[in-house]
Amino acid sequence: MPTYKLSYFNVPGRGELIRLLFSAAKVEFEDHRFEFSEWPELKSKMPFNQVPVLYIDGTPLCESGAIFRYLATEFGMNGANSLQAAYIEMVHGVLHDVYSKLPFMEKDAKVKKEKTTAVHQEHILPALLKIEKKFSESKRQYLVGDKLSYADLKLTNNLILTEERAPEILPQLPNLCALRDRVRNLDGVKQYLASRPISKM
Amino acid sequence: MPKLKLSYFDASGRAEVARLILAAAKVDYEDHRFSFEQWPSIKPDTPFGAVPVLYIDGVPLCESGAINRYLAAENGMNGANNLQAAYIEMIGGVLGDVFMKVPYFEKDPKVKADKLVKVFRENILPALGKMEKKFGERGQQFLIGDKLSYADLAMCNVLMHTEAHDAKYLKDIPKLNALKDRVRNLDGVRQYYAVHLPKGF
Repeated sequence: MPTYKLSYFNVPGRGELIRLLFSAAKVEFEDHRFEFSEWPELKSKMPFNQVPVLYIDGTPLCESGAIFRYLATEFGMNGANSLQAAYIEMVHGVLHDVYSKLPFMEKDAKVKKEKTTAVHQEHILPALLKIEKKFSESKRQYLVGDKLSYADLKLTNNLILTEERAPEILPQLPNLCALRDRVRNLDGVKQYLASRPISKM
Repeated sequence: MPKLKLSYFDASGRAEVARLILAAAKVDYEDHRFSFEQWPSIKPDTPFGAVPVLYIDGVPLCESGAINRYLAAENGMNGANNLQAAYIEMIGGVLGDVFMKVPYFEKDPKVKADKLVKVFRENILPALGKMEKKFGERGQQFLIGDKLSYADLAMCNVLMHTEAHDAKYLKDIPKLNALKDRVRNLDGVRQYYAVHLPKGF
């Protein structure tokens, strides 16, 4: 097993799925988190002036998608074949498209709350309803294939945010919520979720 | 071999790498292209209101990354192992990040031209410069590993558009430019470009 170090801001953002993969796989890694104030000095040290960066035995790998797909494949969480891997990436992509519309950087609390509700109604809920329908028809335990994939971890992380910030949409998504609850209680994931910093974003 | 149909606007955009993979692999498919005017009538029939969509024996797969990586894996253009696949995705991701800043839809020609100069100077050329250096040090024919990958096709795509926009940008990246010219002349790709030559930004 190589040594792993993840460098990212001390926020969930594009680092969280990576951290969840390590947790679910119960693989040790150095979770290097830094504050925004440290970024100007660190930026020029990164291969393409961006984070996250995953150091694999000290060699950097950039781009969050490259990182989490690499780890998911290494840890057996990227489907059983390339078609399943494609559907896993599709579900992740759809979730990313809609959840990234949330006003993470908004400083006005009232505006942030209104926009959060609006994004959930206009973008997140319609997408999740489609996924809920397919998922309930499939009668599977996981979103794609028959074992945990990074799509399940992504969904779980997103629904935990929705639970905090727009819970009113959740009654329409019973099967996805049940999946979320199975995944959040997995050994490794449970401990990570209990110990991770609370995010203000 | 499944029956493939790729649905997207009549533009390179987020479908071009998939088209290039299929061209280089010399795999038959329906290259369904539609106009912006037709989009409102096509949108409701797509799974998540977005394109590209790849229909595999009629079953839709969405999200350009999922489509690209599926086609690449099926056609031997996703590296020899998981780590190579990660570096291939990294290159594709960095190119996507910097070229996404191009003001594709800016209507004012002067504003567009000025923004393009800025994006090339601040984002695109620095990233390409780093890649040129690494590629030069590696001294290989392809960006990753020892055969064509979709990273080479992604690089060819952006550099073909760059050449059409303003060839002067290629003079400081001679090895990447030579790669572009090797790839554009590959059997399959050559014939594709004879019909769909990139027009710039």
